[in-house]
Amino acid sequence: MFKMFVLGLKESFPLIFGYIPVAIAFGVAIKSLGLSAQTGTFMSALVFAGSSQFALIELLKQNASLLTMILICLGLNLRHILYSFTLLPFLKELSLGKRYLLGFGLTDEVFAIALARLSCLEGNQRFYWMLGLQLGAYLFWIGGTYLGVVSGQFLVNSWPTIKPGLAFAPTALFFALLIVMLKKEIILPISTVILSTFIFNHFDLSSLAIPGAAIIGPFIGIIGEKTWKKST
Amino acid sequence: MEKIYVAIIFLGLGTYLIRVLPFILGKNSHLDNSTFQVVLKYLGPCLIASLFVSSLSSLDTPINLYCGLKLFFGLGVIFVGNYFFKNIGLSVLMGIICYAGTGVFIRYIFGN
Repeated sequence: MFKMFVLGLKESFPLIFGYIPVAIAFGVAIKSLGLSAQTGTFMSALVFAGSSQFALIELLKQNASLLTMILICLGLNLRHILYSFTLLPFLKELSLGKRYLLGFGLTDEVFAIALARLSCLEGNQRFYWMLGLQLGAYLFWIGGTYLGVVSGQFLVNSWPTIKPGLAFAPTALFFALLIVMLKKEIILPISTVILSTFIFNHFDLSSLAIPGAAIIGPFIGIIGEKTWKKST
Repeated sequence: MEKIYVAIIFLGLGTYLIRVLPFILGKNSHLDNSTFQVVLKYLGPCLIASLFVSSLSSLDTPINLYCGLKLFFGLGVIFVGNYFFKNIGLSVLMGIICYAGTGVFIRYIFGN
């Protein structure tokens, strides 16, 4: 079983390329808000969800209310319910305690790797392999955040060319997540939301842009879906 | 306690519950019903689209050809990278490098 754990840990190494730069950018963003290394690392250790952590930073900049911050960030993570449902058939024979543990580290990237590998493993092998994979991913994320907060300013001062790249990291992450989720039926609600967010931002109502998107998007999507069904 | 710590604790607990709930409740839970799934289908992508647009305001201002080109190449590389490698992390890294690299290249060619 230890072999399976090590195998999972090894298979988490490709995640370095994705996690470390984003985590460093997150650390730099934390620093730019005047928050401490402890706060940044604490957030990465407890939340372990890049998109909602960046969202929290954006909402803090916009001085959003506490309730708005929590609801929006949790809304962003709701897609993880689908991940857990998808992996459930592979993990349902594990004890509840083991499933409690595996639930913590189910990020986008861990899900993608696990979905491809779990069918080749069986029973308890799946648990130890996933534990290794999640631990690797978790350590890269926390390590990268700490590196970003502690040495982000040094990195930026030493190589000033990376500064715009780090500022671009949240945009890059949100764009990558968006294209992964892009499907024909989502184009209409997404276009509406992009337009509404531009309008909210243009009229200095940026704190309403994201809550507005949470209402407008699904509403347009459901209406569009019903209209499409009626017409066909 | 500061607002940020309260937000982090609630966010951490909420994120964990979201991830673990289907493991506990199983396939036959009410979370699996169609209305919830339909809302979920649209909610995530819409929030991400809105965050994407909001995050653009943190980049260079004012909007001009220089930052437009950087953005175009940065996002273009993410799109192409994701198409070929099917790896979010890697495509984000490629996009970040291209975005920063395009800025350096344009400054080198056209000066400041």
